Amino acid sequence: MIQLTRRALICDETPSQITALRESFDSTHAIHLPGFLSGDLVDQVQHAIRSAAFYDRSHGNNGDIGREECMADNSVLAMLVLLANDSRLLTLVRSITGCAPIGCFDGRVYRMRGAAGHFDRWHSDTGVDRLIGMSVNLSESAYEGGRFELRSGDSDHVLWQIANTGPGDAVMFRISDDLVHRVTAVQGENARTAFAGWFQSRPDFLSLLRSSTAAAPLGA
Amino acid sequence: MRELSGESVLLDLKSGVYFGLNAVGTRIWTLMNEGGSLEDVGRILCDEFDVPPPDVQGDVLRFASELCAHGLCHVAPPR
Repeated sequence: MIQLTRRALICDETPSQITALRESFDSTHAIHLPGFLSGDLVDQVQHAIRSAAFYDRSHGNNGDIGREECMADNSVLAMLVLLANDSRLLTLVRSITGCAPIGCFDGRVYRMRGAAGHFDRWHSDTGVDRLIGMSVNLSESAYEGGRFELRSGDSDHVLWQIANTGPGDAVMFRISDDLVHRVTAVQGENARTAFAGWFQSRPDFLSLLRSSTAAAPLGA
Repeated sequence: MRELSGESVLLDLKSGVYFGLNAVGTRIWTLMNEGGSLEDVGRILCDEFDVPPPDVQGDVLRFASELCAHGLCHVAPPR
C-alpha cells in the first residue's frame, strides 16, 4: 500500500514489490495505485469540493485539446499540493518510474461532466519540465466513460487504459514525446473529478511556493 | 507541516496560505508539537545551539507569538 494521509506518506511495499512496480511501469508507462489518498482525506476533500468555485478552462491552441471545469485556488487545493510534495513521495515516484530527479509536483482539481460537453483529446503534456503525470480520483460517485488511455504517438493501439473510479485511487504515467494520453468523454450524470498534475524536474517545491501568492515567510 | 531540506512548510487550512519555516523555526515547531512548554523549548534550544538562555527565550516567545497571530497555534494551559 502506498498512501498519502494528512500526517505522512505510508508505504509498506517491500523492495521486491517496488521493483515489480518499476518493471510494470517500464512495460506499460503507467501504474494504478489503489487507495492512494486515505479515506478520511478523500472525504475531507470531497466535502470541500462540494462548496468550491469552479471555472471553465480550455487546453491547447484555441481550446482544441480539452475543456473542463477547474477548481479555483483554495485551501484544499493548497493542502493536496503540499501533501503531493512530500519528499518521500517524490523519492518513491522516482524509484517506481525511473524518472529524472523531481523538483516538485504541481496540479489542479478539475471536473468533467458529460452534459457540459467536456472533452480531453490525445495530447502529450510534454514541455515545462514535466516528467510524470498523476491523476487522483476524487469523484463522489462512479462515473461512466471518462477512461484514461495511453498510447504511442505513432500508433492507434492503446497501450494502457483504466477507468480509475475507486475513491482516492491514483494513476501515474510517463510524460514523453513518444506517448500521448487522453480521457474519454464522460457519459451520464455523474461527474469525473480528479486532482491531476505533474511531477516536474523544476522548480523545487520551495521555489514554487516562493513564486506563489499564497506563501508567507515566518521568522524564528 | 512538511519538512523539505531542513526547512518546513506550514499550511493554514482556513486561508490556504503557506508559511515557510527556516531550520530553527522547524525545530521550535517540532518541539512545541511534542507538548513541552515554551520554557522547555527554549531550554532545549539553548543546549542544542549553545546560545544564552535570555536570547533564546525571547526568540521562542516572538516566534510563538507570530504563529498565534497567524492562527497557526494557540496558548494552552499547562498539562
